[in-house]
Amino acid sequence: MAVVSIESLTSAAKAHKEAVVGIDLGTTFSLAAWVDGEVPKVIRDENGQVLVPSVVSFTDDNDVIVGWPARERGLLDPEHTVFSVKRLIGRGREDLARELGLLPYQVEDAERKLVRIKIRENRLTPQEVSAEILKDVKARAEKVLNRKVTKAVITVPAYFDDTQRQATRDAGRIAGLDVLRIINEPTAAALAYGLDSKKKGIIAVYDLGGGTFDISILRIAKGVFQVLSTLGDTFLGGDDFDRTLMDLASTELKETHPEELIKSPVVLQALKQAAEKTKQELSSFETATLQIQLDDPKISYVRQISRAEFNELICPLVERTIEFCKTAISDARLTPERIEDIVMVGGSTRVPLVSNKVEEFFGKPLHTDLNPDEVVALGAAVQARILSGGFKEMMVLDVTPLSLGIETFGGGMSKLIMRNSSIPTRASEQFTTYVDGQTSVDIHVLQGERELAEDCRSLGKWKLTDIPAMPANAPKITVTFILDANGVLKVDASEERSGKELSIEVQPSSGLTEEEVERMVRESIEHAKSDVENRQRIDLRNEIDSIGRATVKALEQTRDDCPEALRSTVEKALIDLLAAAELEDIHQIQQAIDDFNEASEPLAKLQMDAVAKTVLREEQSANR
Amino acid sequence: MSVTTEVTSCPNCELIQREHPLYCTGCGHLFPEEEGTNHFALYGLEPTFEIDEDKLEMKLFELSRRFHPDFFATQDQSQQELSLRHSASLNTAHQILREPFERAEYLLQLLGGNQSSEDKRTPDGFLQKTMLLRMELEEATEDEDAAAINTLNQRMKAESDALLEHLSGLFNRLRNEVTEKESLLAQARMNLNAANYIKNLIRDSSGLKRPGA
Repeated sequence: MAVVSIESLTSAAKAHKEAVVGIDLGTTFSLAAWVDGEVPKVIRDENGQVLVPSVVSFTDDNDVIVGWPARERGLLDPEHTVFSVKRLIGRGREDLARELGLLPYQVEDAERKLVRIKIRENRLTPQEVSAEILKDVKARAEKVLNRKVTKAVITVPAYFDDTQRQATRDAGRIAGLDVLRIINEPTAAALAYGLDSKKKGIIAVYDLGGGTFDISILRIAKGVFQVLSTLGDTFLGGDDFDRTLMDLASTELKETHPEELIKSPVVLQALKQAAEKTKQELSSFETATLQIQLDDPKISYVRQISRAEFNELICPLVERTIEFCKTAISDARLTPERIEDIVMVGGSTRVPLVSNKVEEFFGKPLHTDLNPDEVVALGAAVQARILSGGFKEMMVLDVTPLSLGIETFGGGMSKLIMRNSSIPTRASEQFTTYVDGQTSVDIHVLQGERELAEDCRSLGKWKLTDIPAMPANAPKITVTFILDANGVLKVDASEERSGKELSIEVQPSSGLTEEEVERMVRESIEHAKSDVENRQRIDLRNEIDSIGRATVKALEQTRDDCPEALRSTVEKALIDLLAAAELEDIHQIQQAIDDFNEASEPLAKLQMDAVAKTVLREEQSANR
Repeated sequence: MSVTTEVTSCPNCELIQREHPLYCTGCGHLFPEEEGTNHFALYGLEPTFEIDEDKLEMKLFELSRRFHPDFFATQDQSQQELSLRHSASLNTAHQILREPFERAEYLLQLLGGNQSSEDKRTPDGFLQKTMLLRMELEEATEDEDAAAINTLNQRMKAESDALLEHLSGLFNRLRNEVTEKESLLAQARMNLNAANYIKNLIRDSSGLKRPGA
């Protein structure tokens, strides 16, 4: 028994062990990495694939398909296939006006400023769709590493606001992950860069992904990664490059085809995939073909496009990123010459015009040793290890990308925390009441750089309640706004005269309420227990079954040698073990197996002796 | 409520020593913030206008290693909470101390001076002088005379530097002399008002140079 179970025990013990991963939840692709020993590594599945397309497709039977197969399904069933969901997360419909006409799937308004994606009778939030991607990445990591994954660091564009950060964290929670940290993508990239080369000095991280652009300026010294400034655009990326080609094709198609046809989901999806392919080809070749062939509806479109033509289309977009670079450098109180190295991140930096323009602007060769698709996930894995107590010499000091403030009486924006402030940070503001006996005060919290409240992003209304009744102007209410290391806001309030902590009700402008997240987490656990966990549970139950049978056999074999006390201990332990097979929690089941093995160890020894004796006897009798 | 700063032992490792108000130098355990811990004390600096900027940066890194939430992720809730608070204090203080204008404002409050909203006066003759400067600046901007704007900017910078230097002298006297405190504080306030005025003028002029910025 002992010999048989050792191997299955070690594999079970390994499954019991946890891996803390870093996840790059990208607009186009997602991936995970972890730190193996001291080395961050991307997680590669059995087919050698690292990148999972950030595409979720819902079948007629409401099965959820994620990744490459979902991407393929996109052409067949574009209305139920969601891509680029990162552009929607934490956003309201008005932020997305330009976006929505180009999406083959349906996006609806929902309560508050939240949007929902309509998939047949279901209306899903971007958080839930993102959670499907995260679940897939998590399951793949669990399978490849043969470890449980419950904790993760998830990356976001540096220019994401509080609502988008919270929404991303909620997506992680819905996917069953304890999100240890939300880390900025360029900062993560810098961590991977700095770890790899033990570099120091001032660097720029230019991160142009599928949907977002960030530029961050960092100083690296003595293992400290200090972000000096960051700037970006959450609606500028490779998707926008694709769109210039989509626009070109649809304009030309309009000459021969009706407009409704071109705007239909099937054609939009075909246009998108054709544009992506052409863009990629133009990174390697001087000319490429932009081609759409569909049978239903009947569409045939072929056109040659040169790299020069493509460059002309995307040039304004690339120029915009250079303007951001200029401002970020001046925000860091530096000049371009002071930047010692430029780290290129994100798949869209493969576009030749991008690297040419960036190199021209900084006036020095770019650092392109790192894989632009993988470096962010690798850095997130390093951060995950730091948070688990490893890489003690490394530390990240990040900043908040946007100023935080409150709406003033006349609809102005009064800034309390300036952009590029190091986080964590805090600011306090005094409030009072306007009428006698007033017991609550509303505060409208904003993020952004504009002077008027209506031009900034609303984070929501905070209602301070339970203010002790006093004459008008008497209460001295101190509200403290804290931005934590994730760049996520916390608000505390107290009334000075009574020394009372005040309750705060938050009504987020968009995003989910705490109750909604909790419900989604529950549903997610109930409906979609991860395959890996189910499989582990089945394995453990099978193991209990075989241990049980082996133990009964061992008790038989040692009938003559086993002391009564040991026999009753083992029998009792066996009853406990069999009961544990009914448990849901795999950790508890594993614990029960460990306990049993400890209790039955003397029996295993006795059995070995008994078997040895029997073998010896048989040999002796054979020799005789 | 103020906590007495007498020597107490660390509740975690019982080391009887408090070299820093916010953490135990023995085991790294974080203490609750004592009221009255000012930005200078947090950085182990004397409350003076002239500071060693390299030391400030070095201290930022050193103390960040003590306080940053990354290093408390596996500790209990109360230590995590303190790590968030202390890191926030550290960063807020850094932002003020590294900026001469903000540092001067903060130091003036600390010494009991008025806020700019309470005393808007500037030194004698300052307003006339800057009025002329402003007019010249507007003229140069209208003529798009880059060379003239440049010269004016240099003049403003020199003016601002002179005001800050004078301010620094006043702060030194405030440290060493007990008499005339009120008058010195008032003078410091007036100088700082003037310096802020010039700073805004410089900011506005650079704004004028970049249309649409």
